[in-house]
Amino acid sequence: MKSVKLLAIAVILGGLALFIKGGYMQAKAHFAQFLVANAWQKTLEQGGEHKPWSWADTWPVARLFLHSEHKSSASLQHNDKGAKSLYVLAGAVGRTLAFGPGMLLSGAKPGEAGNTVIAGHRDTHFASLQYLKPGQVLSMQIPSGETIEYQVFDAGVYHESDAWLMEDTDRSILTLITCYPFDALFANTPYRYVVRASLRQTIEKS
Amino acid sequence: MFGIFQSLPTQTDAGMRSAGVTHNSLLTVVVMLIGLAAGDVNAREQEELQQGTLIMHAPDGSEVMSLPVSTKVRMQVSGLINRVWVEQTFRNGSEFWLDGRYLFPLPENAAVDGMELKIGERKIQGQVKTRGQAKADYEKARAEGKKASLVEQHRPNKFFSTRVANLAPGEAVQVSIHYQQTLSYDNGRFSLRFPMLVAPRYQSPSGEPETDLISAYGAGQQAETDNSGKQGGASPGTVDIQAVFHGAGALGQILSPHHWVTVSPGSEDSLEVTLLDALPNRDFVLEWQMADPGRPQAVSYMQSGMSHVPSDTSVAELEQNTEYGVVMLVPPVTGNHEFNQGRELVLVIDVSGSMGGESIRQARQALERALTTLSSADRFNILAFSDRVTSFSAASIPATKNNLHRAYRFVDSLEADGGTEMAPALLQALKVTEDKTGLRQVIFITDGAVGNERQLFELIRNHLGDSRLFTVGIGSAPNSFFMEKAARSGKGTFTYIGSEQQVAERMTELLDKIASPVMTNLQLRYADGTVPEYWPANLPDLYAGEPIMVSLRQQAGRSDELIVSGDTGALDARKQFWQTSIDLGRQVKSRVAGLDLLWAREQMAELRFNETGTNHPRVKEQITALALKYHLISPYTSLVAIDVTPDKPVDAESRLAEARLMRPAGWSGGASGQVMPKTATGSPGELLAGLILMLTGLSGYYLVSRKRMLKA
Repeated sequence: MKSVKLLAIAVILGGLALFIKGGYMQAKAHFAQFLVANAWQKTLEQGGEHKPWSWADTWPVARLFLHSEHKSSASLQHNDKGAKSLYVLAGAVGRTLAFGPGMLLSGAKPGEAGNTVIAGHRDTHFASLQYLKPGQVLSMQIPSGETIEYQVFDAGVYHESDAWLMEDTDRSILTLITCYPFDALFANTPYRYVVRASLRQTIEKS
Repeated sequence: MFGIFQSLPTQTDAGMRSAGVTHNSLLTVVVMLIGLAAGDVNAREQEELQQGTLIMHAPDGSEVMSLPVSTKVRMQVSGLINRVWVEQTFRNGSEFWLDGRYLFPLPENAAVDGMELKIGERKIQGQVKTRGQAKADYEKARAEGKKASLVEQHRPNKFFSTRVANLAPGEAVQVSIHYQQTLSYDNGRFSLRFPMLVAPRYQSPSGEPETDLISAYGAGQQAETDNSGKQGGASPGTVDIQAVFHGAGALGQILSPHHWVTVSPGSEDSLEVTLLDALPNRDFVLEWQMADPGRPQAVSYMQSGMSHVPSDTSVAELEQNTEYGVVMLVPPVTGNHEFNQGRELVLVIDVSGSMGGESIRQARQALERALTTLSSADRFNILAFSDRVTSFSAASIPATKNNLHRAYRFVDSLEADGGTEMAPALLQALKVTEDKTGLRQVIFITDGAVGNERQLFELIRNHLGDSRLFTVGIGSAPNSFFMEKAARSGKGTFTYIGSEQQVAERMTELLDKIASPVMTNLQLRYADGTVPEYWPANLPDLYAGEPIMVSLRQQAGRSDELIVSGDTGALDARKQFWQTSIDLGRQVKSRVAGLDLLWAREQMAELRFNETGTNHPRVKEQITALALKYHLISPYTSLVAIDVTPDKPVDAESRLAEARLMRPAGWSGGASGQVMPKTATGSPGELLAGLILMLTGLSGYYLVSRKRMLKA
């Protein structure tokens, strides 16, 4: 009887550990964005790279707005209530991605000619990628304070080896990558959901 | 190489059908798909296609794989360069108008730069256009009401594919392509291969009974007269192959392991190898060695004029006075690497936070692999850096058993954490120790996540000295561009490791290579002291097992001797000056060896190497101009299929099968094996599993307690 009880306790503790681990991932994803927000504010004010916390290996490079519906550019302001905003960090490696979507360092800088690639976790920051449809507008604030607008021209599922999606392009495009399927419970999948958008215009600092 | 070979294929489904409407221009732009890799080749076809094949869509939706009725191949071999022209003819053996695709499995390291299709009277030509122009052509076709679609694809170019539309019953299509290949060299042996295998079996996608192409092969004639469309044209056909070897005087015997060939002296210093009989189902392979493989040597090849004659006559005339050449430096073949003594290896590993997880595991494995190759006469050191540098030892120490043992422990203890400050680590790695002898080799293992790239290149150039920098990229999305450039600045190479499985193989390859440098400080000049226009501008070192090709251009008729020099014995401080001279004036000038294309490609590589944020527009312009002039595919130009037939009506509607699944599951990835970043955390699953476990445990606990209470 006692052993059954011990087993039950072990199961509870195991479950708790898993729950905490999963919760920690989610919490990290949400709360890190607040710290990053401060660093981003500093970047906008002073320029340069500002780490969100002293031991960080990354820094915010842009702020991405995923607009909930088709908006005309006039209404695209940072205080747009319908827009979900995300701070984009430098580098798209596992450690960075836990805190926010990461921009591939080998890609083009936003607004420059070339392919700007941002990867994000499907179950935290980039969960809303699935609602983006061709024609929709995304915008991104860059360190200079300017806002760049992109229009989605392609959204679909690709295999992870379709690395050509990350290759440099002639014109200025934005490639958003997340894992697919969106509602899968565990991590390993060879598929990626990729949204591609092309540059529309740059709006001066307001 | 960089992505020069990417293409932007332009595809319009029914360009042909629209013919005969209004305009009679010779250039009815727009048609078809030229893909250097074919997005619509599915995985099974990839495996099964082992020679040039025409895949036609039968009216019932099934597919017919048709082998060529005749194949004609001409090769020009200059050192490691093989310029190939292939012409294959296919016949539509069915009673239907058919559409299909021509697929050619390119040998390794090959790129197509020209193609022509002849379908009855129609002639379709591959032309190099800027991407903007390609797009404009497409828009124009759309505006004229043609059904068109533009496909942008970047694919590893394993296959050449082009669409063949409206093939009349009994009609033949003649496909010719030009490709240029860098030949393989292994342990002193050169080899070339032309694909002639026949796919063993092909299951048609509609679930039809299997068409056994081998038996269709045996019953060749019968198959050809069979009008069912099922096996149309699956006959062996005739094969005619001829390979011309330039500079044959320096070559040993040429062997053909699978087929009977004749070898006869050609004009001047060349040999002609002709295929006598084409045994079915065997690739055409030739193998040869240098005549005197025991010593290092420099061989040169010359060409006058361009491979693709420019349409502009004034340019063509100018080019008459230009010669293109290649100097190949061949390392000696030695059984044991006698110079492999007392080298200094500095291993630098990135342990910043971005290397966390699988990356650091791979990096540790790579380090351990490097340590195993050290012998007791070698010296080594390990530097680990994040925002500070941790070194295994203050200076390089001998690779004794004891020291290695400590090194393994050091490597095991490395964990990824902190920021990335690459400059101090680079400085320390390149810093020369006092008791310096010979060459220092620095292996730099990182994911390249740095911001201050330009500063780092400068640092490498200024402090390199006698050291050589080899970069190893780790992780799913390393900053390859930075690392390639860094390696080039450091006179080394870049190695990419995409997964844990590749660590051993790629590292062994790199370590084997750098274990035996043959010659350093290579230089090229004319006898009068002037320096020719050559690429790469920074000549790399010569290593055992890897010849170097230097591409050069000069005014026609220049008769100076070319002097090639370098230092041998770099590792053991017994440096010796080595020099040889080549009389370019007496060289035979071949017409079509493709040396100009190599020259242009190398120049593009150099331009990309020197590209910065500020000169980008200029570099783009220069690369585009080169690509258009030399007829090459580049990041800014595409090979576009253009119908150059005068328009005339087409009476029968041809059937185009549905486009099939674009992206097969389990696609084996690009040539680089690079994959997209992993972007799932599994945290929802963990939350759910955790919750279930807790509930199970709680209810178990509750049940047990209740039982006990009841008992009491």
